This record gives sequence, C-alpha cells and structure tokens, in this order.
Amino acid sequence: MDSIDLIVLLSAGICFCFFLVFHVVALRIFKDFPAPPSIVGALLAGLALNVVLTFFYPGELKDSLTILQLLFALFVSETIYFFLVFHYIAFVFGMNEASIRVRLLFEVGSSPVGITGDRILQRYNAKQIFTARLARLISAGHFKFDGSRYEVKSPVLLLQLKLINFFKGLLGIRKEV
Amino acid sequence: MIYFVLAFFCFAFFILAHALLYRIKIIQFETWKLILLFILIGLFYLFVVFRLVSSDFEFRLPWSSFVCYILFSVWYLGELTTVQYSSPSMKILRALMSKPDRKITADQVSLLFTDEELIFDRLKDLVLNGHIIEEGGQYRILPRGRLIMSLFNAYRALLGRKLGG
Repeated sequence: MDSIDLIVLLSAGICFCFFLVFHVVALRIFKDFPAPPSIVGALLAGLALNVVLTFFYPGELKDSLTILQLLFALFVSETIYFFLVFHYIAFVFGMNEASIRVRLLFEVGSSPVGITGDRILQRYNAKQIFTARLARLISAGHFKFDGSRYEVKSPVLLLQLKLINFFKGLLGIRKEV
Repeated sequence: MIYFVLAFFCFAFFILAHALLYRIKIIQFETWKLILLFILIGLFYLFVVFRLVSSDFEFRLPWSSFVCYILFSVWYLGELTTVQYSSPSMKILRALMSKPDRKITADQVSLLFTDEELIFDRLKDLVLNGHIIEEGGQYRILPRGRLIMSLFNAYRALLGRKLGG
C-alpha cells in the first residue's frame, strides 16, 4: 500500500475513533440537553483533526506531494471519515434513539413471564411514538412549531424525501408525493 | 484522482445495475443478492486498478478509493431501506408537504398513525425474525432478541441515554 493511501485511511480511522470518544464524553456531560449539538460538535472536531493529521503528518512524504495532491488526499480522507460517522449515526446511534422494534424488544424483554399486547400499549403506543418523533424533529432543527402547527425548518429532510422519490423513480416504484 | 473517479463510477454502476435488475425482477430488495452485486462490482474495481491502471502514478489512492466505494454503496443500501419502508418521520413529512400551506397540526399527525401499524405490525416482524415469540396472547423474548437487547442496553449505559423509540 502506498504511503499516502495509508495516511488517508489511517487519518480517517483515527478521526472516527476520536469522534466516538468525543461524542460519548459530550453526551454524558450534556445528558440533559438534546443530542444533536453534541453529535455535530464531535463531527466537526473530527473533521478538524483530520486536517491536522493529513497536513502535519510526521514524515517526508508530504514534501514530495503538491498542495493540490495533499488537498485531494484530505478530501478523500474527510469523505471516508464523514461516511463512517454518517453510517454510525444511521445504523447504531439512530437505531438506539428511534427504532420502534428495539423499544418493543425492551418492553417484551422486561417482563420475564411474558406480556400481552394490551399491556404493551399501556406502556408504549402510537401516540407516544408520534409525540416523541415530533419533539425529536424539533430538537434536531428539522421542524419548527408555531404553537399550533408544525412546518419544515431545515432542507435536510426534504432532501431525503427527494432522494427517496428519486430512487423510487429509478427503480420504477410509484411515488407517494 | 483516477482511482476515486473509478470508485465513484463503480458506485454509480452498482445503482444503475440494481435499477435495471430490479425492473426485470431479478434483484428486488433481497439482501444477499444486493451484497453479491456489490461484491462483483468491487472485484471489478480491484481488477481494473491492479491489472489495467499503470502503477507509474506517483499519487496513488487505490485502497482509500475502494473504501469510498464500500461506504457509498452502504449508503445506497441504507437508502433502499427507506425506499422500502416509510419511517414515521417521512410519513409526517409527506403529510405536511401535501397540505397547501405546508403546515400540519398534532391532531392531523395523530391520524396518520395507528397502534396496529406501529406496534402490532412490528411485533409480527419481531416474531417472524425469531426475536420474540407469541403464545396464548403473551409475547416473550427469545435468546436472539435478548442478545440485541443486552447490546443496546450496554450501549445506552455507555452513552448515558434514556430508552428511545
């Protein structure tokens, strides 16, 4: 493996580990606050560390590269780092925060002798789910609430909706909106 | 840069190949078929990089670009899940976007969801996947479900987070 290739991968990997530690510490310190600022703070800290690691890597390698090559290496490393964080948020953190199935496992698992559907509904139901979901959409900055109605605040969710519609179109599935 | 462009081309090819195979009903959303397609295109990338591209370049990022191909493809696989199943957030957003003034009340949101869809359909999924069992109207957890529950319990303790969902 070429040295610059190794640096790009190592740098992204180190920054991802740094992100994991940073976000755990931040979430524990600010546990009474919404999670998004801690996550974004950890993400940005990792991005900054990646710049430092790529440009100030100890060795003579960077002297043999042009500034454009170094910048491109940084771009690739940041891309890898960003997607590692993105997948972690989507598949691990997000699942713990929002997955209804995981929550149902806890509801069923907390009753050693078994639990009926009605008993589950007393503890966890559709009303609780959409209330929590709306609160999370507001705390993440996706929605805003004017006291009576909700509306979209950030374009991130709209982009996601467009992507879903794009992929549905590509696959030939009927679009809903 | 050639490696990164090639990796991106392979990612785009992965999406287009799936779209084509989906339309002729060879690959729909079956995980193993999608992973097989992803591996085949990944092998194509490695073949091109190590057999056809000259190694005389001074600036080489073949493995970093390969990791990019993997990460982009995992993103696409995640997107396919959202294409297949509409999440509650997307359902709220769709309802909101269908309103003339693009605003929605909590009462209107409440009409979108039922216990049947959000709770009982998911309980059926958990039974089908062997995470829980239903006997005589009682749900009980199985070892597979308990393992997942333990992992998330440990993870939540580490983060100091409350029960989600």
